[in-house]
Amino acid sequence: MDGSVATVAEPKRKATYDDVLAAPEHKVAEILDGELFLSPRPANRHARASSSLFSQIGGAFDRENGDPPRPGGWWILFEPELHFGADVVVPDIAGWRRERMPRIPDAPWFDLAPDWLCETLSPSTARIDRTRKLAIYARESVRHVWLVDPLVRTLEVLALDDGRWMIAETHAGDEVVRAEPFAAVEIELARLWID
Amino acid sequence: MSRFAPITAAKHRATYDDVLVAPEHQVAEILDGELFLSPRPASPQLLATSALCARLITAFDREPAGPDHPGGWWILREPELHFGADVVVPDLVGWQHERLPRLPDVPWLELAPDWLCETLSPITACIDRTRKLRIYAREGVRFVWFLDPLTRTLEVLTLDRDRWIVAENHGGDEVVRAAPFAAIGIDLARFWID
Repeated sequence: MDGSVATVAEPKRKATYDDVLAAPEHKVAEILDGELFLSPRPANRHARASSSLFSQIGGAFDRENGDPPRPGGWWILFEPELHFGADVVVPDIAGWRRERMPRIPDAPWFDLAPDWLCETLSPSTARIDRTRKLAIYARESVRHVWLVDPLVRTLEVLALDDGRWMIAETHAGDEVVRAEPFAAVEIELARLWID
Repeated sequence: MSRFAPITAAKHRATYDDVLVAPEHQVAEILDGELFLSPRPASPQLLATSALCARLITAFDREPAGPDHPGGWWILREPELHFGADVVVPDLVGWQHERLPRLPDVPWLELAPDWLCETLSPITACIDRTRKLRIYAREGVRFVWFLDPLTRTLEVLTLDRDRWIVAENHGGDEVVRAAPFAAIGIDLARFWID
């Protein structure tokens, strides 16, 4: 199904982790509300946005506590597999505060919800990201979600407020931003986009 | 400058004269004092806006008339709205009759709508989500819909004091009941080109 996200499941059967394990190598497999979703691997534009943001945030925050421009205090991971009950979710980038998770468990997946995560949107995945995954992240009390749209060149910062997502701020283009929960450091949006 | 960003004119404070001399085939707006020229919508956006407009007018235009016609709204396409020095042209807007009992015969309106919809395209989504959304919060628009034919999504944002809440997210072939028009079902499948 060229480029679009397929719901793949024999009808009426809840997907299990075996379906994830059996998925083709070149697809990203997730289980959302009991349904298996296969997404194509990201295209270049998506890969550039995720990689640059991971590099900027990871460089500053994935270390022991320190001072700006490298405040530390977080674990910042690329495409971690998260298991929330029967759901299997793979955000593009996720972060845990070290006081909540002092060390990374040597396990095949995480079941502790991150403090922050980022989804890089693409036309084929944006609907799943905004409908299914945002709802799961709210249910799991992820405190901040960033949505990066490399086609439109925007960064939306969502904060969980009483179980609902509030748009805290939206940035665009070549802005240099300080955005929660990483406001201690400037993020250069221009580096996320390809010309 | 991104090729997906609307073109802005030279950095002087724009006035309505700049809107009046803008090319016919472009949509001219003044946002935070700057002139923005956007191309007219392409067919995927036109289809989505037209389908939503038709559905809402069928059910909500003018006075109530039976269970399928709750009525009580003015629904307009691409009106020119003047908010102070800003000139904004949303794709669809609605006023409830309690706030606007009669539609005046005017070239532009200055009363903030109760609801509006922006149909997103890669070219306009940036200013829709940033500058225009901030203006809509400033003016107290209570409901903003983002309709995106490329991703086939409908987002419903509601204003809570001065912050936007992501109230609902729909998409694909859903038949939705979305605030503030939850009295009727809206079949999203009719909004997208197959």
